[in-house]
This record gives sequence, structure tokens and C-alpha cells, in this order.
Amino acid sequence: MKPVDVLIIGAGATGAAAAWNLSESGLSILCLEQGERMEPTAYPATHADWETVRLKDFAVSPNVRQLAADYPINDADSAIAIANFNAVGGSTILYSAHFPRFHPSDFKTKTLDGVGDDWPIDYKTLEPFFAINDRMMNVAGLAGDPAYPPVDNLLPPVPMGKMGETLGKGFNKLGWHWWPSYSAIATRRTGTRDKCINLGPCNTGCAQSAKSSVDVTYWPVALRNGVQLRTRCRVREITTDGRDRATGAIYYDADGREHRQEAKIVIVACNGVGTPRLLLNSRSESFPDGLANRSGMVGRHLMLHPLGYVEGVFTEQMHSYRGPQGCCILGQEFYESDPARGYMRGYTMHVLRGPWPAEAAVSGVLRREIPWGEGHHEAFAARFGKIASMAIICEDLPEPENRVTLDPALRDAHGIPAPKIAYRLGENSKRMLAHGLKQGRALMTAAGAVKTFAFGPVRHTGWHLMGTTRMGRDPRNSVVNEFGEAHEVRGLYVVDSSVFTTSGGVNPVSTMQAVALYVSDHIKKNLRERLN
Amino acid sequence: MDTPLLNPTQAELLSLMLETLIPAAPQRGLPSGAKVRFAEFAATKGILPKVVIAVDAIGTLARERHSVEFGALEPAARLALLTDRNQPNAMAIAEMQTYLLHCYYQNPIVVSAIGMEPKAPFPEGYQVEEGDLLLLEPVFLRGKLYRDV
Repeated sequence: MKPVDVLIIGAGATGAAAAWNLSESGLSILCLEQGERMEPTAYPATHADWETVRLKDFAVSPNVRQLAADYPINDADSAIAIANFNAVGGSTILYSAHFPRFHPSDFKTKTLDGVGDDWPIDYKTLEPFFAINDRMMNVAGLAGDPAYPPVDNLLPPVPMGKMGETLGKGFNKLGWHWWPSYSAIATRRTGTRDKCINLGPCNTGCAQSAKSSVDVTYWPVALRNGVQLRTRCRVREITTDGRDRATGAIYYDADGREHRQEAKIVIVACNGVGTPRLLLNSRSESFPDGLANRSGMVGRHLMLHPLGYVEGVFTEQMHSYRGPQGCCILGQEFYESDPARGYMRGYTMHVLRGPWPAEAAVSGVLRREIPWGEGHHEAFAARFGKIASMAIICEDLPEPENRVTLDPALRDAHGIPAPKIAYRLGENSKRMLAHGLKQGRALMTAAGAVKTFAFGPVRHTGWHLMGTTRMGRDPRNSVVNEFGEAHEVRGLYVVDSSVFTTSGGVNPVSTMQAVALYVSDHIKKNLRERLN
Repeated sequence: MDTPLLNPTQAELLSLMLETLIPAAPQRGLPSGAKVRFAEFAATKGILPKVVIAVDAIGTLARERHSVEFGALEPAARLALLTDRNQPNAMAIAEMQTYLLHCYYQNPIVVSAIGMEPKAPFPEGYQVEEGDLLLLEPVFLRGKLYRDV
């Protein structure tokens, strides 16, 4: 294989952003991705029985899908099961595109609140990259949100619908913050992309290509600019020169043949489970415990956003299932710390669209709200289209014993050791979650719900994978420096959310893509030094 | 000649099970669970073997507990067997029930009767009200919520 200047491992949210950002610099860039390119006509939304079609190949858990691109994950010891998707586009293929940024305080939790650790960078550092990313990802929303520093140049917000409006009135009754969701969804035609037509099941892939997965945003431009993308290529390990410098990777191609790819710079973008797994599997004489892991920090401080679920049933027909599944409105009344609540940091109240018919029936039966036999139809009619749903996204504090290691026995199809997850909720998270569930029910009641339901943590929601190659100035308790380069390995960068020092209380994609742009920008600005 | 999905006894028992779980509601335009071609649905989704396990288990349970065939039981007794979570094959029966709900609530007649159009979401999509953004005024007027650093 011909050597390249830059090797990017992973074609998901951050790999794509880094590839695009570097693609105009004249460098030779290759991205290796273990998954395939997706075909929107194959997404479940093109089927009338999409609620069933989604259950296998578009399931959130790789352990259920077991597609060729997937690797098994042992998450039996985790309170939250890991979710991901392996393809060009990565987890953005299935994400809901809910796209709020971190708050400024999320970067300084130790200084401000005495918990967690401070990032070596801050909101201001990332602000220009947030703006670039919002433009590339066609972010919709509404300017003027008092919960954030100014955010401009947004496309029109996604429609609230009757349900969103009803909950908005509930928020107002309580005097709580709420705002239209920041959504990476093209709400008007932009360039070659058609606008959103409210298909609904965004989290099974967007057949309209209006949802901004990176295969339809960053990748088309990066490829036009000359980036090479090889799919169905699984990287086994990253190589070094024996003097702590990254030199490339060894990978298996689509036919299972092994290749060695040399590169001057290696950028890892494999998510908060895949990245530590790759580093831990890249052992050598110089790094017997895994690449860049002399500190023992690789894989540690896993943060997952414990998620609560709140539901309200209303008497009015709201057609609540209509609209982008995970984008409607959000509330951040309880985002910033208030010690009087009994915990530090906070959460986002992320309003979701209601369930479609099959899901409404299944969940109603499971919760014994809908009986079998007599009364079934009446009970279904009392719920369908009348349910408002909300996720409580709780900030997770970094704890070193929450971690990703290598499973001693489990392997993927290429024989590469699989990741093992050890994760439990901390006391702060438990108190925060309890508060969020209680406030969520209060909101539903204030909005007029006649019945409410809440529980958490919801197990199959481990999408937000953070902290496992954390960013910091001290090599003893971090893996990468303030520019995303590994302390212990020159030329090795990480750009995904495994570099997060804190987790914030919002979906991580906006912030992690801003970080990827910032890191790749640093590489661009210091090209001569980086390449030599 | 096509191989039948179930033998006649199993087919009859399954029909009665489905009808017991989801009775018809003619006033709502809704068929019973026996009228949505569930066996075919189960076959296409690859779960017909589990359905057969469930059917045979229910037949056996009726004979063991009540000394009669399932069809000879009163509706309440039939439902009690179908919803008993402590029986040996409860998991297979529960899985069958979940797929029944999927089959039923995506059947075109049912979808129309509950007020939706029987179609794939793509390519037409749906209309959603924009909502009144003026409701945000009190939030906007509260002023800054985030902490500067």
C-alpha cells in the first residue's frame, strides 16, 4: 500500500469532519472504515412495516445486529448497554440528530463546581468550530436561546407539532426554560439536499437524506476533494516505529487479507468504545499495556449519560408520533449546578415524538396499560397519538473504574479481542436521575397529562460514549493533550468523544465534531512540523 | 404445492388464540387478531418456529390444567392461559404476542381504522404543525441562564 500523509480510522461523525477539514490542504488522506456505504432506499422508512423491519439490521445494539461490520461488545457488567452503528456515517446513520452544544460551564466543572475535571480547552476555543460544523451539518433551530451564548445562522426550527406546543405551555406554567431543539436536519432545501418531510423514523436512517448523517454532509465534499475512503476494512492495530511515533496501521480488507498502511499522521475516530479497544489491542514492546497507555488511562473514565424516560398520556389527539423522532423541543432549566438539589451538574429534558402504532401497543401491553382481550381497543385508542415522551439526559461524572478493557475470551470475526464494559451509575448520577424523573412527571402534569410514567436508567441507550482517552495537560491522568495528540505517541491523534474530559448533559455530537475540526485545524496549521 | 405453515389443528388453535388476544371491534372497523394473516407474517420474519412452540404449549397447558381442549374453554379462561407469565413457555408466548402486535398494528385495515394512511413513511412524509413560537416569549424575557466561564 502506498504511504499516505494522513490515515483516519473510522468514517463516522468525527472522522468525516477531520477528513473534510484536512482535504483542502493538499495532503494525501486515506480513511479506513469497517462498515459499508449505506443506501437510503434500504432504510426501514421505505417499508410500510418499518417498525418491524428496524428490529434486526437497524437495531441499536451491535450484539443484536451481528452484521459483518459489527464487533461484539461484552456489556453484561454495565448498567447501560452500548449502542452504535458501523458504516460510512457511523452512528450518525441511526442518531436522532438532536444537536445542542456543550455549555461553557461543561468545560470547567472542577473550577466551577468542584467535581469532575477541567478540559484544557474551553467553549470559546471551540466556538468558531461549532459555527463551521453547524453550517456543514445544516443545523436547524432558533436564535436567542438564553441557555446558550449566541448561536447564529440556523435553519428554521423543526416543527413543534401539537405535542411540542402542549408541552411548551406546560414549561411556561412552571416558569421553566424550554426552546426548539437544535437539530442537524435540513428544514429547507440546501444545496443538493432535499428538505425534511417529517418521515418520522429518523433513528432508523433517513430515506430522504434530510437528516444530517455525515455520509450526506462531510463525506461528499471530502471525497470530491480527493480523500480516499476504503470500506469493509477493519483495523487490527496501530503501528509505531519503536521510538514512540505512530507510523500507520495493520488492517484486514473486505476479503480478509492483511495489509500494512503507512502514514505520517494517524487520526483515530472509532468512538468511546472502539478507540480504546484499538489502542489496547495495539500492544508492542514499547507499549505492553496498549498504545499510549503507559499511564493506564486508556479505557478509563467511561461516561455514558444515564438516561431517564418520562411519558405523559393526554386526552387530546395530538398525532404525537408525527415529526422527526428525536427532535422537537428541549428544556434546560436544571442544566447548571444548584447544590440545593442534592447533586452537582445537571441534565437536559429532551422531548421526543410519541410512539407509532406497534410500539404504542407493545409498550402499553408491557406496562399493563393496554389489556389483552376485552378493553384492548379502547385502551389503545386512549393512548395512541396522545403520548408525549421525554428523555432525561444526565451529565455523567468521570470515574476511573468505569472503563473499557479487552474481553479475555470474546473476539470479533477477525479474531481481534472485543471490548468489555464495566460501568455503574455514581451516586451523583442516581440523585440527578431521580430529580429529573420527578421534574419530568411534574412537567407532563403541568401540561395536562392525565397519566404519567417514568423510569430510569433506560438500559438500551448507550449511544453517548465518552471519556476513555481523555484530554488533559497532565500525562499521568489523561491520554491526549490539548491538541488531541497522544501524550506518549507523536503523530497519533484522537478526535472522537473518547477525548471528552467531561460529558455535559447533552448529546455529544455537536461538541465532538467541533473538537474534531479544532484538532484537524491544529494539524493543518502545523503541517510542516507534524509531517516531519 | 405450497407446504402449509401450520397443520390444521395448529392453525385452528392459533386462530382462536389470536382472536382471544385481540377480539374484533366492528364499531371501530377493527378486525380480530385472527384476521391479519399472522402466520404468514411470522413466516416472513423468521419466527414461525417460535409461534409453533407457543401454539403447542397453549394446547398442552389447556389439557393439563383444565382437561379440555383450548377451544372448549370460556374466553376468560383462554385469556388467563395466554397471559400466564409463570408457565414454562411464557417467553415464547410473550414473543409471539409482541410480533402479533407488530403484525396487527401495521396491517393496512387496522392502520386505516386507527386514523393513519396505510403507507410507508417515505416518500410522502407527513404534515406537522409549526407551532406558535410566540410561546417562547416568557423564556426569552427571563434572560441569560448559562454561566460564563
